Amino acid sequence: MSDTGTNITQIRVNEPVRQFEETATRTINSDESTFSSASGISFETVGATALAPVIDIERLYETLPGSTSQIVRALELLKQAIDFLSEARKSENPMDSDRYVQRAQLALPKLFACRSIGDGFGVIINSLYFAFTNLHGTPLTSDQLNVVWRILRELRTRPVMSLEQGIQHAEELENCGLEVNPPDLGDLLEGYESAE
Amino acid sequence: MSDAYIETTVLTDILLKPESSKHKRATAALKRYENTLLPVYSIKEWKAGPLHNFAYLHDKLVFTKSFSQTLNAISALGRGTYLKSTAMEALAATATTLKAAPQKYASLSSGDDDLADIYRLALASIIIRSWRKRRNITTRVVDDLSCYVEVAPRVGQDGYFDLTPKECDGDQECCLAEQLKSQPTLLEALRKAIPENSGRREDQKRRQALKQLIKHPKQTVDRETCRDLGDAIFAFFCPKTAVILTTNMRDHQPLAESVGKKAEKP
Repeated sequence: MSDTGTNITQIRVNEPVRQFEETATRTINSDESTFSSASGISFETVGATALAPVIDIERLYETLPGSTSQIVRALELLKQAIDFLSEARKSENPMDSDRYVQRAQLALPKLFACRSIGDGFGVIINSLYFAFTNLHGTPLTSDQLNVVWRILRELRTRPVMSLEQGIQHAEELENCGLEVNPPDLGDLLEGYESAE
Repeated sequence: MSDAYIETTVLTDILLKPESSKHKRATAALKRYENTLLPVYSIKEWKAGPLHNFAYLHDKLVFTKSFSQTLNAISALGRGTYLKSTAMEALAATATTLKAAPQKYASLSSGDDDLADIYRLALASIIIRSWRKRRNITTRVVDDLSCYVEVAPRVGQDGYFDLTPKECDGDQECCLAEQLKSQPTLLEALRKAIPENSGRREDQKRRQALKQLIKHPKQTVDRETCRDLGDAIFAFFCPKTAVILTTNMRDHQPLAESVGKKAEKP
């Protein structure tokens, strides 16, 4: 309840926006879920009493003229990268596919500049960068391409994520054979081997 | 020998030196054995040593927000900190490479604060991922320590890593005490394997800890004594059917041989 005595739906960055209808109009079965779309807003009806409009990510962070928001910039860049990766996935020619992947890579430094969005975001971009670096130009396998594509899509849907969530995605990259650490990180330690 | 008892150095090579030759050697070595046994004592030492060092470096980057200042700070610590001087050179070399590389493609960024963030994020990531992997690299985890709790590293609200606890619970006697005290002959053999005139502080502490166990078995074994025993713990608890797998042969070989066991390099 707000100070003025009216209910205001809170919109959180990481959650679909739901508005609950209070007219209690029963129009469909309670176990049905339907979507409709109007002006970029999807209305989800769960049961009879709840209409839940899910605002598309494009609308939620709609670009205003002159906007310099990092999140808006990141969403644009992620879209470009995802589009290139989508083309790479579709391509039947491995060379063409790799060229699309290389184009997607170009977005990484710019995306890294948007890391103030959060450490989860930063960890994913950082991990992807080192994954590509450690490949030394070797093209991604189709499995790796799919994982990278999927992770970037998820990042675009939820750009604000915790460090922990970002690291989970780094683990996914690692699990498909990509090396996500800086190449010289292992050299940082001494101590125990000094006695060799 | 078909079993390997994994010592801290090998655990470190596997978890914190990805893609290095040491990592490859260590992971290949594990495949030589039918059973690979990871004692929790290794995990405890690894967390308090190498993992702590990575967390320190991470926190320094958080504090300075500067790659170059972090390098200077670490260099000032000098030797004996477990952070390699050549590591600093490696970091400096990386910074130079990144600065020299074409900005558009080859690097995320070359700014000092950007480099600090690149490494901060990479360190946070490897610290947490390596912790999660620790119990999955061997066929079994053995010799649980009831006085030690394995708590995952976490980043606090302030951005710094919290690695506590790094030690055993100080309120109770070391859970290994009873087994250690029950075999004074082994303790004596281990003590004799350490050169009496050794100038190394860790040797002196180990001899002292073993002496205390032998001469004063009724005395409580606290966590400091347990920590000082260090390498002797591996020789003592390694099963007879296993070898101690370590990169630190200089310390482990004489200890293992003194009690009729064997140490091997990966």
